[in-house]
Amino acid sequence: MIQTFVQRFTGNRSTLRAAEHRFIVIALIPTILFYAIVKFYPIFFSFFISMHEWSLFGNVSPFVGFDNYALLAKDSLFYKVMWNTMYRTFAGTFLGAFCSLIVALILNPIKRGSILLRLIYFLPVMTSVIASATIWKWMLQTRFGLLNQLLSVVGIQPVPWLQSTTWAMPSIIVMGIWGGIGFTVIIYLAGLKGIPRDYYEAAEIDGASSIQLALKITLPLLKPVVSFVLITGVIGGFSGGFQAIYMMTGGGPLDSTRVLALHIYDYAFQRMFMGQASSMSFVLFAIVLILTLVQFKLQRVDWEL
Amino acid sequence: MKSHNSSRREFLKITGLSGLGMAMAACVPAQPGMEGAAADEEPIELSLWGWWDIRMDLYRSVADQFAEQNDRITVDVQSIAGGYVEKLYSALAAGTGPNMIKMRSLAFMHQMREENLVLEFPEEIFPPSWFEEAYPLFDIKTNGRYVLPTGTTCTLMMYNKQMFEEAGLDPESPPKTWDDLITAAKAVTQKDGTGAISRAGFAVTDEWPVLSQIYQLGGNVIQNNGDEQISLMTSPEVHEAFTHIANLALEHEVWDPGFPNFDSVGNGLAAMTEEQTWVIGEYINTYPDMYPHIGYTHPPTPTGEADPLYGYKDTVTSISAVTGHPENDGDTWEFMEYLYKDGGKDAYWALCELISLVPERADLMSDPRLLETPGLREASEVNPYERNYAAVPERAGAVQNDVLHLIVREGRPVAEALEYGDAEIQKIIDEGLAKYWV
Repeated sequence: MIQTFVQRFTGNRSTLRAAEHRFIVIALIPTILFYAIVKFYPIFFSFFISMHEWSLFGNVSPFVGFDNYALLAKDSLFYKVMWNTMYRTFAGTFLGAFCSLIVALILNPIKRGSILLRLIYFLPVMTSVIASATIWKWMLQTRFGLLNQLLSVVGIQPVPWLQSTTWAMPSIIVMGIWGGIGFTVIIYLAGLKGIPRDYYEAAEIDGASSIQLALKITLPLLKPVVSFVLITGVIGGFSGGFQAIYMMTGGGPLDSTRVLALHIYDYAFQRMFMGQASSMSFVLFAIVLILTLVQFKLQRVDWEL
Repeated sequence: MKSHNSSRREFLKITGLSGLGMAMAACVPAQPGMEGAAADEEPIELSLWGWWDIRMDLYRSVADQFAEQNDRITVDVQSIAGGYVEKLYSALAAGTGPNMIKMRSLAFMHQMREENLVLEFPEEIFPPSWFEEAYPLFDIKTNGRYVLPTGTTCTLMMYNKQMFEEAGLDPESPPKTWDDLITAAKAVTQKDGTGAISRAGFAVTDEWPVLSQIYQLGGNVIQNNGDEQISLMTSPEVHEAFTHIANLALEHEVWDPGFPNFDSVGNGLAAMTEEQTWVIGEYINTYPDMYPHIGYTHPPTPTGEADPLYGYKDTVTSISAVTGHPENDGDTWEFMEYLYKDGGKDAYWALCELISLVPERADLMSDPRLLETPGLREASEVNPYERNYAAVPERAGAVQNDVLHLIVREGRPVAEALEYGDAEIQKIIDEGLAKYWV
């Protein structure tokens, strides 16, 4: 159909190949322009800002080279923020992936009521983070929150979930897992449905137990899906978490839940240190880029296998 | 009639040239005479940005009254939902900002002033003598003439009279000293079977904890010599103030951080708190059943007197004119004159009433409505004896909370926690955010 259109467009069969190229280029122009303006220009401009002591109002924004990056290297708070970000990212991703896998394995064989179940576990994904963070904040309130009320039934003293430097981050992580589990379960279920039934039947004929089926067939064949879930989870984890943390703890207590996204926001829009905020964004960009390359590499290996 | 067949290429060429010609014609500047004439006749729409719909509705009512008197200028009042500062700064940087804004705070005004984003009130419309007469308590010397206050939110002691009665205390004799406070708090505190507090005698504010106590002792968090600021977080006054508040939890067991601020009093989970008057509006609207039982008095001090102060207060700022629209500055000041002078008086009272502020306008300071309003009557009495902390950077409040957290929750010694606070306040000073903190 495209060929016919190109022929009509050019009116000349002999120049078909050149016309095809021209058509492709013309067709791509809106996309290229969109990406150039909306994606690449802000990225390069942000890098430009990171090399300046940038004022939003542009009168005096001296060039400082890599000074903003050097400041980060010397800033103990930035190291704390990086630690918090990694803690939240890796704990949240691995724990979330594990919980999602268990839920998916439980849900996979269920036939009756599966639509209702899907609706229930996908509901947190559809809920606004702001709304769910507010509800979690109430539930985790020290003295009168639902969770501590339930724990008091079994004689456990109230835990200051969001007011303790020990418990605040785990609370945020659990809330994040609850919010994302539905999406991950969908991915796992798609992966599980893709495993041919024949493998299980053959193994069952050979007398394999259900645990052996899971360990020898399900998990190995689910490996590409697991690696996809883990790597996209880690990538998302590094740049995410802002809304929930902003709502629930504001980064406290004592910066124990301050993650990179919140830190960048604070520097850019509260303190108006655009240069430093941009340099942090590029550190984040570098991390995400490396992780994305790792993901590509791992996926390639999976295909080759 | 002879027809002429144009090729597709010719048609496109003619269409393109016509479009280009029309675009260029549109770019020709209007002649000066024409522009001036149009400005006299054409209606002008100014824009005013703020946040919180209910408040902006009150400003809108002023704009509507103004529009009835002025057939040329209208003011589009917009309430920005969420991210006010981010949206405002993005718009100002892009040259699409409003003519006027509801100023966030005095600290924010100073920041905007340094960035040349706000206009100074013109002397020909707002002469210095008018400032002194119309807003006698406002510190023009420190704050300049870039914004005026709507009112002041003073710190008061708020207590539940019903709980006082139940505990055998006289609800008409609330605690006046720190010792009175501890005695009363012990009387009204209730504990459950495990010994945990089930009803707190006192709830500490999480906005600016301990600041009033520091001021009551004659101390401050920083010393500002104009060019230089020094952290006083390790001073004896700050140490004593933190010790007093922390001991309410650690020694006297009348407070627990699980009972946060004024909400605990509203919920009936705490008997007393020290908060700013804006929370009276919260009691009226959110806790209407509790509101009639709440009494107000000055914050307890070590001696019972304001020696030197009762605590801190905050100026709630009103509208500022913004740079970036020089062609409309005259129109903007026309509206601002109406707003700040007689035209906006009723709206100003409504704004004060909305968030329980003591008015700063001289013609409202002795208004009978003020003296009849529970809480505002007491606030107008303490107003001259409280220090305005409005130019204190917001992060300093977080430092206060963190220090208290270290002492009460993490069990650190007061001195050690204050060392941490000292370092954090020093960072704020180093970032240049404490220049107007007095």
